[in-house]
Parts: sequence; structure tokens; C-alpha cells
Amino acid sequence: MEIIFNAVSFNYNVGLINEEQVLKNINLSFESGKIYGITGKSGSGKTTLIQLIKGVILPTSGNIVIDKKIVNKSSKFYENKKIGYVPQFSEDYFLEDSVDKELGYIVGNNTYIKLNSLNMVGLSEDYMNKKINELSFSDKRLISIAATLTYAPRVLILDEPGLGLDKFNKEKLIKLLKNINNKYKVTIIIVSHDINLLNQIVSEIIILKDGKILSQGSKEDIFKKTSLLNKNNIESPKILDFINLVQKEKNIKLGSYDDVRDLIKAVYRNV
Amino acid sequence: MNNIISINNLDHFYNKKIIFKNFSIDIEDGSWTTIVGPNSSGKTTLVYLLAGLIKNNNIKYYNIKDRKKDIGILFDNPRNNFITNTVKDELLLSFNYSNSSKKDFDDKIEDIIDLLKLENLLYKDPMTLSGGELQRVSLGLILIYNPKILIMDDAFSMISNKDKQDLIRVIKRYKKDNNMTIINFTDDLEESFGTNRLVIINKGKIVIDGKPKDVMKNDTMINRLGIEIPFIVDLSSKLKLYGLIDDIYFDEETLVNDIWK
Repeated sequence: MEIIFNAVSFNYNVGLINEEQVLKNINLSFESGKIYGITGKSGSGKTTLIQLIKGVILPTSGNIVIDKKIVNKSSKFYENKKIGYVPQFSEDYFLEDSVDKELGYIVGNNTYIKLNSLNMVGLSEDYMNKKINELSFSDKRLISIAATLTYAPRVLILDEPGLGLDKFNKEKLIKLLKNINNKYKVTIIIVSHDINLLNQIVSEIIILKDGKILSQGSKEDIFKKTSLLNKNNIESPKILDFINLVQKEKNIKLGSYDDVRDLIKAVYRNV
Repeated sequence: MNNIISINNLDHFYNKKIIFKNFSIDIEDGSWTTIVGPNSSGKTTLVYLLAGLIKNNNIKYYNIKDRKKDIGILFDNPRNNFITNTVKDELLLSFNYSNSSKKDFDDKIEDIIDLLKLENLLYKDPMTLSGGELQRVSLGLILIYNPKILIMDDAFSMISNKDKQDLIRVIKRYKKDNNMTIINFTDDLEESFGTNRLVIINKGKIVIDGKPKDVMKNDTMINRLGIEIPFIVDLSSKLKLYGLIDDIYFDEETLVNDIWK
């Protein structure tokens, strides 16, 4: 399911004295089956952009085209569960008090789908009998993702999904998202400050600043723009920082790597 | 050195499950301790125990008169802690509980506004602030009481790295001037760089305890617990295996200069 933003602006308090433009002339396209990372400081317009994709709010000017149809008041992509959304705080997600009921919120008694969703996020059947409030922080996150997967959305949006997860759970999450994307061609949009996490999952990056697109493109191209990133206080992945530092200080080109082990070999070759 | 908190052979149960059994830890007055543990290691319970939010006879405090003021806690998500409509009102509200004269209180507020650069936020609604700004205000509301101990519970997990570095710098400065004791619960081992002590806990037990550099030499063990090793430590300990360097580094530039001497 493709999502296209055509010159989209969004203003709060339209026509009032405190009218405020939070998104300015946004042109974007989210292609089917790719993984996107959206980053930018708090207040840069990330949340508004997500609300627009969900259709919770409509553009003040410009339009959004989802699945070749212009989004309007009667579009129900989010309501009809074509778009799934996993918020930063799982507490904002849950509507029921038990895992079983939460997973069944859309699919009712379809135990097969419920168990399958639990399985996808790497949790055992035992979780079906648990109460939401006895779950740990990371399990809550995984359950909110599992509940979203029960209705097989075409687009999956996650807000700061790695927050509060330890290394194991983060690795599990990364694998899970890549898998869902790979197997079911679900378009995934991740909103996060965590550049190192994005570096491990996404292929495309969009950077927002003051309601505008500061930069968008493939991960590799974006991370090459070191001075732009620096100027806007956006971190680049640590592994890239190191590679750049070596080039700057010692004039040695190590190459480009995602994995520390490959970097070590490159260092070894160049000493 | 004197201890400010001392936990001795503490047992703690929750829903009949053992969280801590025979647990002991001393916190030195004026020290900066970083405590790290994987999900469900007992971290949150330990925050509550140290802060005195859960009562237990096996915890002793020294020189703590009023726990509510002397122990400040900075939580990860402060968005629900505000009652009034402006940051200024929020700061003024604490006067009633501060037991200080109006003059002293006003001076203190001035200091806090200065220290945390709150001037531009004073007339804003707390609900409209960014995560980093909220955390700055929350810290201000704690420091008004001149706490002897500051406990941080994943306090930097929801803010940008830049905001985090700024806050840590402010806290370091305040700590130096006021001899505050700091206990920082976090997932990020990097926050222990340059501090006194790093404690790794798992399943209600202390697994490793020592100077951050010494603790991080156990990188394989820490990794196995599900705790992320900071990139620079991971890199330098692997380069060490290759014999390219002979120590663990906390600073990239020094590392680069030592590899290519």
C-alpha cells in the first residue's frame, strides 16, 4: 500500500489568532514494502505526520493519497485496520485487561490468529492467560505489536519501538520487523531518535525539522551528509562516526560497515 | 568515606515471588553510582527501596532527615507530574513545602532557573514542552529542595542524546558544588563513563561491582545478560583481542591515536 504526500501542510487552530503551521509543504512517498525511519527533534512535526497517515487529522492544504485514493473524511484506512499503529507508551494502546482479550479485540475468538501473533513476536502461549498489568515493560511492547499483527495491517507504524528494551528484546524486535517486512511485504514506518536502532532496520530515512523535510533518501546517502547531521544535532551511527574520525585524523579510508566485526577486520588490515 | 545509604541482608517479595534475597549494598556519601540491569532484573524495585518508597527495616539512611526532600527521584516520563499551567507556577508551588524563608526560596529559584536555563520556559504550559525541556524542569523541581541524594530512574531514556549530554553536564556541576550523592539507574553503560562506580545486577543479585572500566572488562558476561556494551568499549575490547591495543577505551580520539601511533 503506497502512501503519497502532495504538498501537505497542516495548521493547528486554523483561522484563530494562535494558528500555527506544524507541517509545511511536505512531499513524500512511502513505497510499498519498504522500511522507513522518521527522525527529528521533538516538535519537528513527527507526530503530526503520523496522525495524518492514520487519517486522524486531514491536511490544511495539499493532499495525501493512500492506495491511489485521496484521503478524506470518509477514508477509513486506520479504522479498517489497513494501517496499524504501535504507540510509544503501551498503556496508550491497551483497551482490555488481559492478553487474551487484547489479542482478540479485533479477531474475537480466533485462537489460531491470536497464538500465531504471539508466536510472531516470540512469546509463548502461556502469555494468553496473563493480565496486562502483570507484564513487564518490554512484554507490554511486544504484546501491543502482537495485537496489531492480529489484523495483518498493510502499513505498520511504530513510535520509538526500542525504548526501554534491553539488548535481547531489541534484537528480537529488529529481527521481527525485518521478518514481517520481508515475508508479508508490510510497509514499516518507525519514528525514533535512536539512530543506531534505525541504522539496523530501515532502508530509507526522513529527517524533519521545524515542520519541513530537512533531508530524505536512502540510509547510506543520508548518513554521508555528516555536516548537515552535525549542524542539526542529529547523531549518525557510532560505527560511521568512528570510520569518519579515522579518515579525518589519520587519512585512512576504512570503508563502510554495519557490523563491528567487519570494522575490526578493516582496522586490522590498515594498521 | 561515610555511607549515606546502607542495605544489609534485605529480603523482598512481590506476589510471593522472591525479588531480593539477602541483598546488600552500601552507597557512599557524595559518590556517583550507576546501576544497570536487564529487563526484570529487580531494577525498578531497587529504585523504590533506595528511595524509601517501599519500607524495609534493613535499609539504613545516614544524615537524611526528611526523606521526601533529601531524596529526589527523577523518573523517565515526567509528563504526568505537573499540576499547574506554567513552569513558573510549578516552581513556586514548591514553596509551601520548602520550609525556607521567602527570600531564601526566591534566591534558590533564581539559581535553579539559571543553572537549568529555564528563563524561556517559565511562562509555558508544561504539557507543551519537549521531552528534554520537561526533564530539565523536573530536575529543577527536585533541586529546589537541595536533596542529598538524587536517584535517576531511566531519566534520559526518552530524550535526545544532545539533551541528555546537557543534563548530565548540569548534574555534574551541581553535584560538585553541593556534594550530592547520585544513583543512576539506566540501560546505557555509557552514562557511567567518568563516574565512581558501576554495579551490574541481575535476578536480584549484584553480578559485578567496581570502577566502570574494570567492570566493562567483563564484556562477554555483560553481553550475555542482555546489556548492550557501548560501541567504543565493544570496539576497543575486540581490538585488544587482536593485540592492536592493550586497554579498554572510553574516548574515540584517544583510541584512534593509540592504534595509529
